[in-house]
Amino acid sequence: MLFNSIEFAIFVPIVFILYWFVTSHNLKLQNVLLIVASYFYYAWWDWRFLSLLIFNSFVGYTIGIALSKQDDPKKRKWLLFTNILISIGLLGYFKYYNFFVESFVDAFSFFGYKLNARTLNIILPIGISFYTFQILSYAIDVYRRKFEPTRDIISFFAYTSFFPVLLAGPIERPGNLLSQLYVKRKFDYDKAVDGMRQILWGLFKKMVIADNCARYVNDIFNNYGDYSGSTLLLGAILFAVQIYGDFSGYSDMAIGTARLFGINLMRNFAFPFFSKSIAEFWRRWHISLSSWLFDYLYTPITINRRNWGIMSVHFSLFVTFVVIGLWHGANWTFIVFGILQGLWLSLDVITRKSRKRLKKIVPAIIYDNISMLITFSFFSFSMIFFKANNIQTAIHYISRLSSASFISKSQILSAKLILGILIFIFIEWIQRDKQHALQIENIKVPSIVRWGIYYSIILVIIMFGSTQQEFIYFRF
Amino acid sequence: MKKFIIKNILFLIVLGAIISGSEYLVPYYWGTPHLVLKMNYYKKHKDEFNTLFIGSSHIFRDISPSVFDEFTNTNTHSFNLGVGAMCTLETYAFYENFLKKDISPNVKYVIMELAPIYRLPPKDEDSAGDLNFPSTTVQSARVKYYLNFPVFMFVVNYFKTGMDIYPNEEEEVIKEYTSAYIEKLFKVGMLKDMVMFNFQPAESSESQKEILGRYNDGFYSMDELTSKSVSDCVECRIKTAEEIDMNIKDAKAAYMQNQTLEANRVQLEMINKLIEQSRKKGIYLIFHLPPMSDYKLMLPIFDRIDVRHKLDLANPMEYPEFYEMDVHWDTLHFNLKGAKLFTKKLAEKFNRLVLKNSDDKKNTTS
Repeated sequence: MLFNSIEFAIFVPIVFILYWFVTSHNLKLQNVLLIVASYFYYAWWDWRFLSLLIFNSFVGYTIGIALSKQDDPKKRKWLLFTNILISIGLLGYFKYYNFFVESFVDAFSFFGYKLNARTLNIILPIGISFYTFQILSYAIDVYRRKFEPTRDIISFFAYTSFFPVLLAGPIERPGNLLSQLYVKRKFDYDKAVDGMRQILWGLFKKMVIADNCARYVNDIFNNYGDYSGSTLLLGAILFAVQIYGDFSGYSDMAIGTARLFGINLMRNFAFPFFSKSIAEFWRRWHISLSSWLFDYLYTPITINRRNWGIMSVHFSLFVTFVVIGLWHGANWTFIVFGILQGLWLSLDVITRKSRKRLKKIVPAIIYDNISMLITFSFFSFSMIFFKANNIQTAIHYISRLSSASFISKSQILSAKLILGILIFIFIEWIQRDKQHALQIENIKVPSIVRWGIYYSIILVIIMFGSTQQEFIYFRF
Repeated sequence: MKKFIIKNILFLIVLGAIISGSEYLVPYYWGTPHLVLKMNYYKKHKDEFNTLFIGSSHIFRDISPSVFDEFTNTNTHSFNLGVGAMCTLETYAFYENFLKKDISPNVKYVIMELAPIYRLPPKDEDSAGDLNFPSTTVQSARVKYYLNFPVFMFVVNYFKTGMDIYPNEEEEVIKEYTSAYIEKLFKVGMLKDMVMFNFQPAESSESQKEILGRYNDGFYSMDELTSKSVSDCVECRIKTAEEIDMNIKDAKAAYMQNQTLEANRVQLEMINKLIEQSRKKGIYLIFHLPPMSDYKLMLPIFDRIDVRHKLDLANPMEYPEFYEMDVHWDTLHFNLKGAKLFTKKLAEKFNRLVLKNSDDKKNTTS
């Protein structure tokens, strides 16, 4: 059930009432309820892969126990490696088997050899990219002795299956989510109300901003051969806005929902379009994934290759962002997307000193705005690869975009949509110091005004919202 | 916790009230886009028309106002307000609102299609092609525009009379309408269209022509709309011929009163109410039974309508020409030739009815 569906709107209150009125006196029972609710939620999508989730959870739990009993560094390494092999192996099979087979065949045919490798009809289990990383972070933290392995199987299974994050993150860490599941949750009125606000804002971002952009984006990308360069530019920009609205909207709904249950999830988006550099961008965009890879991939590689000097940083960035690209999907376009991010970040590292000097000369307002524009432009450009079905399409799109028709009026221009996006960005700009744009508890306004704001947003969602588009990140 | 739950419930109640009451804050919405277009045209030219046709595609595609006006004796200037897939409930609700809005300064005659009341179409059905909005999550979107409380109660009572139209399924049908009514109450899938229709850009002239017709009289025949017809395909011809034959058999049986159902008194009461409401506005309301009707259901009702307020052109024994293949676009609709023929006969019958009615009035006053 989608977060913006009637089924979910019925599901959450039922779980909420059971959680706070029936099971709140008993922590174990409360966590069992979370597991049952989460498995029900997952099974609603696809019950066939529930066993995979349970199996992955069981592997993570068992490895954790085994690590707690093992002091030998070599054996500990092997245990961790086993967990990684199983989890990533399963992820690799379901997500990347056909991709690697096809790429293998293409590579050989490039050299004139024909291979008869068969692809399989594999269905991608929903949420696998997210919960795999969540389970792995537990194993790695336990291995590194950053987190105590748990014998509380119920808390652990509640951690691996917690329904608000199960399908599309944020990718939680045991130090945050699992720790909260060890203790009894107390209902906090202010937290719950702010959680509702965050859900509302997430719904607005998804249904109004993202889904309305999607109609134009799909048309432009599906028919890019018929449109001018300026229209294709608009398409790239709208897609960047769409994916932000879609994914950050989902994250807001997930975080808001978790807060109703007294659980604080990690922030996943911190107004990334106001970033003044690509490095800052990746500290604000899909934070749970970028920080996961930073902690578990980038940093170990950098440390391991520190004798390479600055090249270790560039190498780590390259590898990390290729993995980020690959994580998004089994397609060369995602890998190119990742490579572009890595290259841009390397450039960011190289130019850091000169940019610092420039910042001292240029007035801050000019420097900051140009920096934001450049960062956003680069990101929008790289999203062409993210959206395109294959590399060829992306290249054709870019070549048409940079043709002479770039300097012409866009063939598709919805004043309503552009105005809506500008208002949306303005609201987010004003609230950029908050956790989410609708965090207004510190603003002293009468209740009637606050309720007026909520009703206005709801009416805008009803009037302009669309329920026709799936969440993009469910495909990952 | 209590405070949180109470506040949420209160919030939802107020939200429900706002949404439910929103229809009173926006200009009245006539419903389907085609009807909106026709009504907008009619309102701009309402002083010109004294005769209106209301109903489904049996009206829209089969009655040509220009032909009608040519053959009537009463100096009619008519406009076709028929809209594809306009069901009976929608027709009645539309007409009642039309009367309430007082936008019929010169209308003297209204000819309305007589048809049964069916159950709701399946939730994913767009109802006769591109005429409607995308379906909502639960029920067909179109029905909710006219399903206010009086119409809802009417339809519940209609099906409660235990008609044989859906044997043993009356409860199921009432549940469907109840669900649609609740959605209408909370404007599920409706609010945007209701508000935004005032701000819609005008339809292209090509689209307008397909709705308002060549002569802006609301008539646009099926063969003008599409180049295909039943004659283009052998299987279609055979199927249509078979269906027409079946229809003739049903009609003959119904007219000979061998196989009919009881008249639904709820629908009959509604018809009489509309006749009376029209009379108060100085409008002469006439119900017409079109060919290819559901005779078993409609004849019992038709028989009981005041003879001054009905026209029968459905009897295949009286009008065999309406059942010939060469006047049909498909089983249910005439082609342009058929529409012209039908309209001419309708005008002739209308003349006789109006003359008789005026003679009866003279006799009564004298």
